[in-house]
Amino acid sequence: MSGLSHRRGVSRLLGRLELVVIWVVTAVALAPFLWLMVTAFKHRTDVMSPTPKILFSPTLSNFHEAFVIGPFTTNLINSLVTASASTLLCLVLGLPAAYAFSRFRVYGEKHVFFYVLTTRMAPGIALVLPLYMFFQSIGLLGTLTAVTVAQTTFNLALVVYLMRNFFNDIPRELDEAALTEGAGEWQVFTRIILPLARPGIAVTAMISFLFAWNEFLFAFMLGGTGAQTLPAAFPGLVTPHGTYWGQLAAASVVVSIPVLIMIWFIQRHLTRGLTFGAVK
Amino acid sequence: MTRKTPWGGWQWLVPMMAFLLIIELWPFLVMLDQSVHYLSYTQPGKNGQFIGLDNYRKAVFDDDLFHGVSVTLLYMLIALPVEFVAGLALAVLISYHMTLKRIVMPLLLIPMVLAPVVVGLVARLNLNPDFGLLGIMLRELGIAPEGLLGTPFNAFLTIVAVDVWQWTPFVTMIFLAAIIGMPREPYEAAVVDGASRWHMFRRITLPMLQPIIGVVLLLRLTDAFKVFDQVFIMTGGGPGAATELLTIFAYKVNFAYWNLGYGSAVVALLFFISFVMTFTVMKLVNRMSRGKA
Repeated sequence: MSGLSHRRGVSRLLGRLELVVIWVVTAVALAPFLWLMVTAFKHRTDVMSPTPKILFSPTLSNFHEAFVIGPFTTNLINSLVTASASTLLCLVLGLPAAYAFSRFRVYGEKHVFFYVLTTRMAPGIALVLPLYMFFQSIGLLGTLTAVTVAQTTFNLALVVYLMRNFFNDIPRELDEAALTEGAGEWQVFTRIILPLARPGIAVTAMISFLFAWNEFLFAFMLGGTGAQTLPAAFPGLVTPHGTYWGQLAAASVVVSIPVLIMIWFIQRHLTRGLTFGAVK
Repeated sequence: MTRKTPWGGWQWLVPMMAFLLIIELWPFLVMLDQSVHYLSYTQPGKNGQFIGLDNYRKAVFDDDLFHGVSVTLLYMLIALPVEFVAGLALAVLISYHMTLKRIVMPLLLIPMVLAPVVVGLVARLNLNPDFGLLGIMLRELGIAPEGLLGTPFNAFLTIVAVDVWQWTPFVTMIFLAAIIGMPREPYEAAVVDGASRWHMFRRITLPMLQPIIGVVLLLRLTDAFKVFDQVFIMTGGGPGAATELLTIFAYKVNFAYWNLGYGSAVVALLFFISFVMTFTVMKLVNRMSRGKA
């Protein structure tokens, strides 16, 4: 009897220890990011303080410098425009394709699918060089169009893959019933499938927006100075004369806010989204 | 079941395929064409000259490219096993405390969903030896007083550590999802038999995770191969070329030295490698899902 209660005591201790480990790991994962967030609200002297300041008088001066005096508001607008436009473009191009992959025996399906996936797996630099030369040759380098189109390339595969999964979840009996009633395939798609898939479309759109919003290399290389997005503006503040920590931290806060908000909504679907449906 | 439709369903793919042909295939072919020509700002007189496979031959014997391959391989070789073991351990721990999952998981996922440039900035700020949270601690301990990004060896270990920090939760997230999806019966039977938790992990959890393990490894492999942004912000490939991953090397050849002919060949090779990796991923994922059905 005493042996049993001893064992129970040990396992309770072990359970407590596990909780401590989990919380410590979480703290380690979060602390560096929180430090950057906090830095955004510090005066310059507090940012550079050789003893880390936990308590300080908060200020919005960094945000003022970056977004009112500095050019970051333009960058913010560019980010919003390109991320939204490329998400929309992805949906327009990808939804019919995803529907076809879900419902029909598409001729050559495997090969098309593989091609679409390759563009997602290839390193950004391998996609950006051909696009750079392409946009240069047609005179679109440094425009919002170039950035939008480029960001569509790597999100299209994701949209097709995710939406096919979501379409597969809608019972086929629904479209077959409508087809026997005399509806056409296009009507089935627009009147029945799309409305039913609305939650899936919302999730897909959010993930694709996030990727475009966070994207750096395409915007940096193809946007130039004319269509610079928020992330693409970062290297400009890391100069040989020093790093503008306050402004960078303020910009980081603004870049991260939509990401943090959306993660609450799409958390459940993130596993699927980031593993290409390999894990549900 | 899928149904038949006229034209093999291709009318539904027209918008997407048109886009892919114009925006991806065509520029890619132009780049391949460029890779067999001379194009650089060092000798403009020779620009446009057809040189066959010279650029590819040069790439195969290029020490700097070989260095990039080594750095990338070493990066993956250290980061992936660490992420794998730590991620799995954390997933199992959290699975013992499911009430915590709802609070802890979204917090853990934050480093992963942040913009890579923000990740790079977080690392730079925290590692700064003069005012960074971690940098000051390390300096007080007498480790790397010049800053972790200051010496080649430390800088390399640091970019690996940042990858571990950013992507371990990804591994945890997938394994946790897999563990939650497992049937409960084997565990209940094991509890009745008085099996220890370690035993249950070795004999039940690990074997059942087997199909997922390959998927996780290959997803991480392709993602680690793609890494660019955060390293670009943290070190730009330096000091020297200590953190010059293959992707950063390819960037420099093209957009720092403007050696576009040779750079096209390098990028074509990069494409080929990622193509082979994607093929492997697909094969594995397919085999796994067929095994489940």
